[in-house]
Amino acid sequence: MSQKILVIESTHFIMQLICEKLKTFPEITFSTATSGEEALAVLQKEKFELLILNQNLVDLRGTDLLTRLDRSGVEFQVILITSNPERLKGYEDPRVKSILGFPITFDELEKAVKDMLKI
Amino acid sequence: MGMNAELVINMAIQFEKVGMKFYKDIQRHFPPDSNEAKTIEYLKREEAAHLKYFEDIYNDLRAQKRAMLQLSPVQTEKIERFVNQKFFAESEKTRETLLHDSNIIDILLFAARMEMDAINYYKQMEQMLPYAEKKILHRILKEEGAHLQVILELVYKIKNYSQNDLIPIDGLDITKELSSKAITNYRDTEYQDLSLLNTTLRTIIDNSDTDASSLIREALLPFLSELDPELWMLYFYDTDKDYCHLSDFHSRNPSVTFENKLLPITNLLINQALARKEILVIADPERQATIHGTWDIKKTKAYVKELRNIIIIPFEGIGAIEIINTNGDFDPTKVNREFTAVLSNIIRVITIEREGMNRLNEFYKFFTFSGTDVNIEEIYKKALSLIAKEIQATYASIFHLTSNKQKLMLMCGANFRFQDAQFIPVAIEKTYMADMLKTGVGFTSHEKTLDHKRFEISILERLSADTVMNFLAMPIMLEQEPVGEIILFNKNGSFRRRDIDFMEFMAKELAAILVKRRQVKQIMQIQQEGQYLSRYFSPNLLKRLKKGEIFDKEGVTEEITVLFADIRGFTPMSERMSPQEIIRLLNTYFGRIVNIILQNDGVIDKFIGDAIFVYWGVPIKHKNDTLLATLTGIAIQEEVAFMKEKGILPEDFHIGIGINKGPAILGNIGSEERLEFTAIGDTVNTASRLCGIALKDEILVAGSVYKDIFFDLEVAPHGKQALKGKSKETLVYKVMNLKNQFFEIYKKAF
Repeated sequence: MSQKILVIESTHFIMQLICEKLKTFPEITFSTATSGEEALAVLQKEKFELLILNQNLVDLRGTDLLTRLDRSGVEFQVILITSNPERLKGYEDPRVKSILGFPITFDELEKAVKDMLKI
Repeated sequence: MGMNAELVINMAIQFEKVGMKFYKDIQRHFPPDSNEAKTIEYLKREEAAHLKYFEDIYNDLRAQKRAMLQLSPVQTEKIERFVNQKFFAESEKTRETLLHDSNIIDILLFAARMEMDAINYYKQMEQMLPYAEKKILHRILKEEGAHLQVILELVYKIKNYSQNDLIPIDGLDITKELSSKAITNYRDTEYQDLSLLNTTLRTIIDNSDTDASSLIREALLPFLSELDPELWMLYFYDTDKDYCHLSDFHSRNPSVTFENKLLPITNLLINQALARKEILVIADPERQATIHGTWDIKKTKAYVKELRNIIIIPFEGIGAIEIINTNGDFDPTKVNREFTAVLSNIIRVITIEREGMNRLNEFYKFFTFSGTDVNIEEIYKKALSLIAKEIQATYASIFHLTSNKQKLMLMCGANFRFQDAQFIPVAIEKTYMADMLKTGVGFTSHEKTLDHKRFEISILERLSADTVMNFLAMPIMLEQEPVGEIILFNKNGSFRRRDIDFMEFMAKELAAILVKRRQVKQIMQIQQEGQYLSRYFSPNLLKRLKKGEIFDKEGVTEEITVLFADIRGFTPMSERMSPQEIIRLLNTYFGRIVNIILQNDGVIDKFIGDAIFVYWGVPIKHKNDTLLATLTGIAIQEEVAFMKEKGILPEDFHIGIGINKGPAILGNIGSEERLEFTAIGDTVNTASRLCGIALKDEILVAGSVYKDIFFDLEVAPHGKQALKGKSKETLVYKVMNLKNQFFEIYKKAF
């Protein structure tokens, strides 16, 4: 069974870019959410192995979204995308396995996804 | 966003609809057969007639098939929301008050104020309209002015009723005391509210050329009838004094017709009289031969065989009348004498009207001021000078409350030396402001009841070296919270009711200015945050910069690709939004496009107002920086379109983009801790100019960019453009489409 990724990204362009790359992985399926609230709703209904999450969402910070998911008991891994990785120095969340700063390159994204999903 | 008459007419229609709704709401609070209900019914019908009139104008305009601004249902709904917000949401409290302790006079005055607000709003719109469209707006202004007149006439009529004749609003508990208070206020010998409204009304009417024309015509008619000329023509200057138009004419020959068109003043005979500022009499045929080339004489000769005598009387700053006789000569002495009397009378009337108008304009300018570049002290000084013109006061000053409302600080004073006392806050307990903090309303005090230990009084006395006698204080309320006070002191007499009303009015307007400033500050803060962001390169670049891999501290010339993007019509858009909405909108827009730029490794040089300046090529080079920059422009436009589709950005949100490639001087300005690349030079300027001429949703690029992108993108020639600051015309191209999948091209560029 294929592994599932949820891409949570408010910037349409970045979302397209990530999806473009994910389409090249036959081992995975993916869904998208354009806001934190939308992601919360999706995560209540579906289980995902990996979240690709932008820190700067239209309604929430990525890290705040993770805090809100703390109590849900849902398990997943996270690739956090940010325009300012410096600001996240010292941020600790065992679910966040990788923090990628802009520009996200296809190679970098591919490596992070493969490492996490072990594909 | 461009303004045209359709948009304004549409707004007028929305205003009228909202007005109808207001009257309907209010009417049901009165018994159906009461005079009040009938009065409102009358106004409702008036409003319906206006609505019909505006709809007719709108339909006429549509029938003319002009370049229309089509309003979608969404835009119409937005305008309606804006109208509701502007005229009613802000006044919700007033409306509530109206329904609870008011009678018909309050309601009519409220309606009159709303009309005046609408008129002021149209006048603002007028400034944004091109000349041809202004005339349509004049029709709206006249109609609204007439409606205001109707309301005011009703107020004047009703105010003579006794309080028993006026009934409170049905079903609501209103005391006789309140009703009586309302009537007493309106019964004051001078009705400040009404006189202000009336003056505004007069200004609107007097401001139009036609009315100035009738005024002059009326003054001239007795004499013109005595002269009985063959033809007379009255000209008025256009707002542009190089032009004038034929406003009125009369001919003995009924077949004479002249079109009312704008004429260059140099083509008219009246120009000579206007230049000399004296009455011009042309009687001799030799002289006449020299004037045949002028428009007016050519026109006249089409109807008149022989020009026997021509008199031109200039009205300085207004226009001129040209009188032509064919049967006999005018007596120059008589003309001079009689006309001097007529002229001086006209000038006197016009001067009085203009003074009134200038005074109102001064107020208007002050009230519509939203200054970003004027400091608060300047605004206060201006406010005090306006107060000094309206109220007889010996001293006046404005105080601010500190943000914790514990201290009061002198900000500005008129007519005395205040510098020494400035910025020395005093404890609030010792001030009159402390009382106003509790009540939220202003007050006056006479000598006997004054507390000379209060800070306001003691500082006035210290600074003016005078004994304060009559005192007036008015709180400045910002969103229902006092933020300061205006105080006045008059040693020559007590303050009148109209002074208090006027001060209430000024405090309210000052508060409105402060709100606007707060709004502007919030916007600037966002832009500054953007600037802060701009200090950052993409994390990738930053990492390499820190390692010292790619940096040259000295100024160098490098080839870069520069992109400018700015919001089209941001100011009008921001005017119809609340500060919170603007902040949200800018945050959303900048947040998204900055993400795109950083993702594409662009260096954000700076934010300039609502524009962003980005470049590629330094400090690192990509496979094709020019293509990458153009793809970024496309991605930005698509992002904006996407956000509009999702309803995140308003439908009329558009951006224009300009891109140029070439050498630029790059320097590292600042300290080691705060690196700041800045690019300057012609390449940067041209990109900015291209952005300036790009229409909404367009990406315009220079020839140097075209060479690097035409293989992957469809690019159409956009002609040679004269760009500001460039001596030669520049060949410009417009980016049309992609020739392959976006990400296929993207991989080639990055």
